[in-house]
Amino acid sequence: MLQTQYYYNLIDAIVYLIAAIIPAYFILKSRKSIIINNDNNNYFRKLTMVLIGFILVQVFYHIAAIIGFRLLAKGFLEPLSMAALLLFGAIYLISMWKIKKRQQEELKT
Amino acid sequence: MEDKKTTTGGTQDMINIFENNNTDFLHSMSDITFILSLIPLVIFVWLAVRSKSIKTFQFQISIFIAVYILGEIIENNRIAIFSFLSPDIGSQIHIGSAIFFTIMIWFRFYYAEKSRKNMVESSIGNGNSSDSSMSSTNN
Repeated sequence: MLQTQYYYNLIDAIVYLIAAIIPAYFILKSRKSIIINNDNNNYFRKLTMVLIGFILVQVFYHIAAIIGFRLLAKGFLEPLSMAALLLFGAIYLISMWKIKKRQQEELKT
Repeated sequence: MEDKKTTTGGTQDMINIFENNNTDFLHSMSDITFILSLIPLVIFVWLAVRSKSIKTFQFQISIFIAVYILGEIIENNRIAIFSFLSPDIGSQIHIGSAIFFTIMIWFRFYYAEKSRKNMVESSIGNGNSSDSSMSSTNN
């Protein structure tokens, strides 16, 4: 692997790891308040979990690229991270619809 | 001697076949990655257009995905227009998108904690975060 590519992947892995701190904090925080388990909290938990999944797969992808596992990195981990992002988008969209629907129902009653 | 030469040649052929298969596989996987990344971009751009605000999470994450895809295109030399650019620029754009994503997450967290507002907007209609479902404060 080229020296520059090594550093690019290293920087990427570090930056994504820093980004992972916030969703990880939210997951830990929501675990404590599991008793107040409503729909809103569930949406937030699901979204956060998928987001942290995307970030961690990105971290593993860059680490695999650093080590030199190009096939694993480009052939498996990168599409997997994009699939996680797609899932995040889908959950986000569905939760938005549900919330909007509920708000409309509340307005009617 | 000739036997050894034939074996070496055979191994080389096998490596070549494996390399070619590998390259084909990686090309097809990069196509799949490209399609997989376009779908969330469409979702978030659509949500951002509906929210009509650049301050929303939807807009910011669509910027991240768009920059990521641009980096991917340049890195893989997909489109002829960008073929004069070095693949290194693609990697640099990837880093740029990762930094943007991290700053976005941290800033949203900071402002959500500071103003006790929602970190992710839960309203499609406008940019105002009216619902507390994705609030950073109610967890």
